[in-house]
Amino acid sequence: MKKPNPPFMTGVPELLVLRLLAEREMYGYEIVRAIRLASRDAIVLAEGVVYPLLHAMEAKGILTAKERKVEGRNRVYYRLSAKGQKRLDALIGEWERVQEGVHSVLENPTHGSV
Amino acid sequence: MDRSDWRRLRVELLRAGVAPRRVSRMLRELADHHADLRDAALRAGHSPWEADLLARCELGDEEAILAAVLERQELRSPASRWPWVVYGLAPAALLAGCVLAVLLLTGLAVGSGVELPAMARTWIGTLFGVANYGLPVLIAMVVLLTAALRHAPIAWPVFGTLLVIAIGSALTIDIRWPNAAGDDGLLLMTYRYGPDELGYASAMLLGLLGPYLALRGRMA
Repeated sequence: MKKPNPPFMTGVPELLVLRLLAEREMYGYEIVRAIRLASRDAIVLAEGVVYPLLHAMEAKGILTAKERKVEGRNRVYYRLSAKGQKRLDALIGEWERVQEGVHSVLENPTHGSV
Repeated sequence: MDRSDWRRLRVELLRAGVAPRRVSRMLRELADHHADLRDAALRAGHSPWEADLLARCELGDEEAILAAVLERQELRSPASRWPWVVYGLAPAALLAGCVLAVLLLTGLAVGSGVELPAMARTWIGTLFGVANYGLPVLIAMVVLLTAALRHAPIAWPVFGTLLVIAIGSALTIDIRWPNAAGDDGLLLMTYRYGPDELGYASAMLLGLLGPYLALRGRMA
């Protein structure tokens, strides 16, 4: 079993969940599987903690939830709201800025030295 | 996770201030997720015992789930964020509002000059009886039951109940209908504490707080 990712991942699960839900509605188990699959097992969320995250995003109006019975189980499907789309755009922008910064430091750590 | 684990997690989430409806839904989702993980492990050739263990490991323990809930303020219900309002002041305000509404509606009906039929007068009399005796008990019961089911700390629900009892036991509204003999009628609201009111307050206190404390003890 793969270990969940370390603390520097703070904020990343929200970005990934929003990006996945921008494609289509999904339920919790599907979301966790999709993240593992799309990241080729590089990103492994502690599965149970995805629900507090989903509920918190729903409480903020970023996601909407709908309960549906599928194959005998009550699935709660999450979907991105208009507010969620804005949040996703903002997070992608922030992520790209940080990624560029980290990449820049890794490539040339002495560039900015005084 | 067995039944006692789910029950423990439920209590902890309620104590953390998450609304009961949200707790129920989250637990249903977690249980379904656990079942999905177990099914996947069984399909992969594990024994039922191993599948259970694997599912539990992948889902994470209660502490991790609880910690994830605690760090998100938005999951806390209004009753948990502002207990002094929800349990402390709102019940008394609701009682006062209902009494004022009854008085206002009756005053409007009487003041309109239209003679009310006997049945309407009976209904209004019943409404006054409910406002005088039933409403304080009902409001206090709802407050205490809500607080018990949410595992809320004891202080504010008890304070709110005492406030409702203090208002409800001493406040009386009454009506004397206008009549053909030229009596304009009277709409009366009194607030006084005599031996009767103190007896009523004591009875309410015992009748409400006793079962609440017993229920709280049972749910702990």
